[in-house]
Amino acid sequence: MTEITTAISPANAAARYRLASLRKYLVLCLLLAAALLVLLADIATGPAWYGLDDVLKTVLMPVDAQPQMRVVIWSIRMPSALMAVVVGMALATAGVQMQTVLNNPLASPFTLGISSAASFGAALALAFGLSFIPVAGEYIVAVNAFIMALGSALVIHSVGLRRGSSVQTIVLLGIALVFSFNTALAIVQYFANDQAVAAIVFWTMGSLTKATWPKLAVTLAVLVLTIPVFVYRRWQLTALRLGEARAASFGIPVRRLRLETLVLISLLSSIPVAFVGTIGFVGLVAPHIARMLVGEDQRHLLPASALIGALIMSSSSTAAKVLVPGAVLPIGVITAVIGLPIFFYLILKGGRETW
Amino acid sequence: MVVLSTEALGAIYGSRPVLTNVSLPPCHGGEIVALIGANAAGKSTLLRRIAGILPGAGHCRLAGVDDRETAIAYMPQDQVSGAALTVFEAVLLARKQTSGWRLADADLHEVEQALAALQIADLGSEYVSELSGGQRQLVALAQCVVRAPTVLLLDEPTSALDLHRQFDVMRHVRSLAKEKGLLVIIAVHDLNLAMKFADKIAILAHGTLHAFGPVTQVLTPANLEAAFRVKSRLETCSQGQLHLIVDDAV
Repeated sequence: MTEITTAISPANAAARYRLASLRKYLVLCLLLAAALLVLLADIATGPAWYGLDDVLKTVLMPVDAQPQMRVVIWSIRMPSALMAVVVGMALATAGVQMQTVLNNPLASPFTLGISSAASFGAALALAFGLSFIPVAGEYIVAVNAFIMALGSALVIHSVGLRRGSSVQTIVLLGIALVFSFNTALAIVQYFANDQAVAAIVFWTMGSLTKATWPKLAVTLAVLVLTIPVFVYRRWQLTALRLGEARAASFGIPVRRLRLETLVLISLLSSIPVAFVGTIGFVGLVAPHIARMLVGEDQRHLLPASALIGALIMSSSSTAAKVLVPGAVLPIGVITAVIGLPIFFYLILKGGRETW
Repeated sequence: MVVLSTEALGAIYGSRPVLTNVSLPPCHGGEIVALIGANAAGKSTLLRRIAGILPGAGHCRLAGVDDRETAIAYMPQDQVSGAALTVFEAVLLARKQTSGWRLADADLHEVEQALAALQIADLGSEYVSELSGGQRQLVALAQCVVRAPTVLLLDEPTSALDLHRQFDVMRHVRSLAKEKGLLVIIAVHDLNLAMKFADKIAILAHGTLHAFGPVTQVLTPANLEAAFRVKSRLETCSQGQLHLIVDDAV
């Protein structure tokens, strides 16, 4: 073969790779621009409509803005609009890493029961004030949601480690967890008082209306703490998609990487659930769209998923305010309406094999 | 020069021992050692134990290398998955896993060379998921080669390749062994391929080492009957090469 080799040019494989990488960075720039534009549109939309230029001026130079507009934008609209972005990024990041470490295209916090577990934990706090560990005030809901999410992620992890455990096993386990926690949630609702039931029902449909700057800061902190870990592990996480044996053959500590990632996924998926309720399909659909656009390399896939997650959430938030004049629809309903057809399209169209 | 030997290697899946007390005599750089044996004889398990990715009893000794982790490259039997990675990306992954954001030209050059050496440079931009089984096997081999190892562990690297490619790959592996002093341990089912390219053969049977040594000493009808339960004979062809002919199952 060596004598044949000399006659064969590498066909500029490296040059083509560099060009392809450049294209992917261009896609990321376009996604960022789109996400910023839709964020502005989200802030501009509401009972009073503002022009995008006015919104931009108020956001960038609040001192020069009209007082009323400044209050509306800075105190009411920006927390929820930014919460949409941060939650979208968190759920999409959780989804893409869940699909990666479980090697499962149907994995997401929503489909595998982690969101349901978080919902149940949060409902216990909302309905009965129960707390798994004693913490102050409104963060009981967040802590309960995280502990339940972590518990279910660990169950999925331990089943995934069993010899002979397949992609189907994990999906079936996820379905079982969703049913179990939904049943548990129904029992909580049965015993809760009317006020608590109303709060739980409203919250299970997802809503950004209760977003505040402190809640946004906590959710952003979770994102800021977890994303750098994924960035640091980008090569290892990408290699994991080649299969467990191959990743291990590269010297990657597969089990530790999986466990570490699942703990971070629990954090990423439970905190948004605790603050804005159950929001489905973002964590499932965003990574698939990102994968189709930029491939599997986490250097591109991670930011692309996060930006698409933000884009879906901001679009949904905007749509929630304009679809029914005078009312704000639950955002979880909108993400499901947007996400489901896209997901069906992804399944049925196929196109280039991306899984 | 790298020297590898094992001392009473063992492995258990659940409660079932799959590898027991396997002590390979010293294998040296520049050699190709073929692991042969019936299904479930323990060939893949032995490779995984040597690669250090499966826990178990015993020791694997490796002399003449600075860093054991980077010295060994292991090609598993399962093929590269259908991830949305191009061939170039998949091979680059094997080369580079932890360091820097930017890619050095040297890394890209090594990937180019590995692809060219296996005649798959033209597949660089193709998605791995869209390749045939044989092409995926070549990508997997390129992933090993690009790491510039001193010990190459290959688990049935030619099982999905056509006859021509099988010879191409084995010749390439042999040239790596001879020119770069690599020790290659390769699990194969094709005994004639093993006979043609290997320097030594290890026969595994029921998770134990049944025989080890130079090809002509180990590949005997008696050993093959014990390991594979077949009646066989070795005959020299008109070109003076030894060939194995299997007459019947016992």
